[in-house]
Amino acid sequence: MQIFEEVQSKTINIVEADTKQFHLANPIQAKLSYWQSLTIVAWFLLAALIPYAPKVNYQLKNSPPFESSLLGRDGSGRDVLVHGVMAVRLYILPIVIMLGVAFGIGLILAMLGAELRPIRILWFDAWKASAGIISVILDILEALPGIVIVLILVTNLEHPNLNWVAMILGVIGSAKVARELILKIRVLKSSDFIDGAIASGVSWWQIVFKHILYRNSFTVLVNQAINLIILLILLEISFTYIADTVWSPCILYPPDFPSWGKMIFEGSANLSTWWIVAWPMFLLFLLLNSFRYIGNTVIRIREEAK
Amino acid sequence: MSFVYSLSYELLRFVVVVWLTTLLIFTIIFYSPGGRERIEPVFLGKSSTFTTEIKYGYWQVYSAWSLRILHADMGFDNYHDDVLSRLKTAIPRSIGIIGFAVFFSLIWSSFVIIFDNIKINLVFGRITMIFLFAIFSLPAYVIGRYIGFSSLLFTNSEIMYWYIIALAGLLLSLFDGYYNEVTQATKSQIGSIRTEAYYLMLIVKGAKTWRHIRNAVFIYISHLMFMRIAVLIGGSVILEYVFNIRGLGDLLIQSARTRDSNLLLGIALTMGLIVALMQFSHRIMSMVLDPRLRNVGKI
Repeated sequence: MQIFEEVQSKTINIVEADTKQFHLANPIQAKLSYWQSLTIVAWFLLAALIPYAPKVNYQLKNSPPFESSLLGRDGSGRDVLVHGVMAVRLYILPIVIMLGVAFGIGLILAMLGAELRPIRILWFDAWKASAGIISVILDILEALPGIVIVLILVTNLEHPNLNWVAMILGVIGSAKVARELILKIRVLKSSDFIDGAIASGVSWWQIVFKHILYRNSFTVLVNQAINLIILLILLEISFTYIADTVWSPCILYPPDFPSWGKMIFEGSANLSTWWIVAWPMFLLFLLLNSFRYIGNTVIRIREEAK
Repeated sequence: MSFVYSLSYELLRFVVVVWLTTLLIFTIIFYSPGGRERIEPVFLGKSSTFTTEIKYGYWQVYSAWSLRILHADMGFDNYHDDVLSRLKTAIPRSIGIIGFAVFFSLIWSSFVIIFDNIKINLVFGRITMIFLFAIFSLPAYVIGRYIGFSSLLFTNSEIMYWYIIALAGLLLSLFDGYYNEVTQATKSQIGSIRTEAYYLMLIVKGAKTWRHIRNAVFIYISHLMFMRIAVLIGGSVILEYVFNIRGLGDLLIQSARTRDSNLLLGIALTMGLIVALMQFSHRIMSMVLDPRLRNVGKI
């Protein structure tokens, strides 16, 4: 199925060109997104480093905004503003685990699937055969329903937590990473500068890791990482809803741990306490929107460095 | 003749993918704590009280299970209901939600493409995009919960039931990040056909290009369904639960709650089969519409 993938690979270049064009056309937006990215990184670092123990105060429960605190209090009398901001600490370790697993497996699958040929193995072209096998493996990984596997895990493990869910998402997400990388590598392999590098005696490892993966597949890697992070956060929020009604309480994290999924779940049960839902929803929008800009900023910095 | 070869290759590939997927799902459930004890009595005809006496091997249980599956027998769940008949009623509803989601997302994306290409008012276009991205980042179930409190859900009418399924599909197409990828894919697909050398050649020759654009759009739709089907299944699980639709997702949550391994196996098998069938039909459809995609007989 070589031709199949070669024809599809053209779409990737157009998405990349769109990203570059966006920065050329919007210099102010590019600058803004730079500061937005710095703010998000600082937010994550502070949330991870500052110790936080939510204070429960049932006398002030469900008090509206501007009464006892700026953005109101939730059902246990905790400050919604601080609780919402500190909730990102829940996602830091799962994001690191998920990206580690997804890119670790995805890179190996991509290098085998794109026929990069570090050494000659058998008398026939073994790498060509491996590409076919990897293509089937990717089909299987994509056919696995992620939410089913997560539910099996949560039902059967003794102490399930969000890190396990992130690991499963990483394994399943590695198929998407590998597929996109294979398409990209196939295009790069036939390009002139790689021919030039081979002719001038650059080593195989340097060509693959430096010129193909690090310098030219960066956009693909960043886009995939952002898609996976968005998937994880949305899955946590959706899964809290199922888990709270099925297992009651949710068993993915300690009961007092701040979480957007929990805040949205508790707040959306009653329309009159809208402020409990509104703040985490706004933060969610801000974070997911900013992730897109972080990706664009990272790509822009790479482009300028080139 | 090349098409026949390609078709047989794809059929073989489909069988291999389905077999390995079921094997993987079976292995995960079998080796999960307590899974073995719950699967064995159902497929080897043992009473659950004697499970500790004889230990069957993994391959014995797997072969017994796969033989049962080949005879269209999925066994019984914890409540002694036939799993296959439960799945038969659930599948059309889940497929309905997914189908509606794909249909609506195609409509949204075509609107955005028109906006993007006309570029009459940049500020208006930018505000529209920010608004769309705002709803893209919201979880669908929250909106579903607010709508779900209406009395619509407690109806027995068949037409109203499908109305609710369409509503769930509409929500799924807008929220949970599905919409954004659809738009991106549509843009890149339309862009890719315009830069193709053969397309430019057709224009230079003055030939009609409609057939090629139509084929590219059809391939794109099947590509869309194939690439995003797993995400859509995940989204439909939540929305079925919110809207009280008795689909695959509702069965899945029920089986997780009662630790019903047999029902869980049936659902996982069905979901895997749906995705594999999508992959197969996508490849076949692409090969029919675009001769360049055929595996053999190429120059």
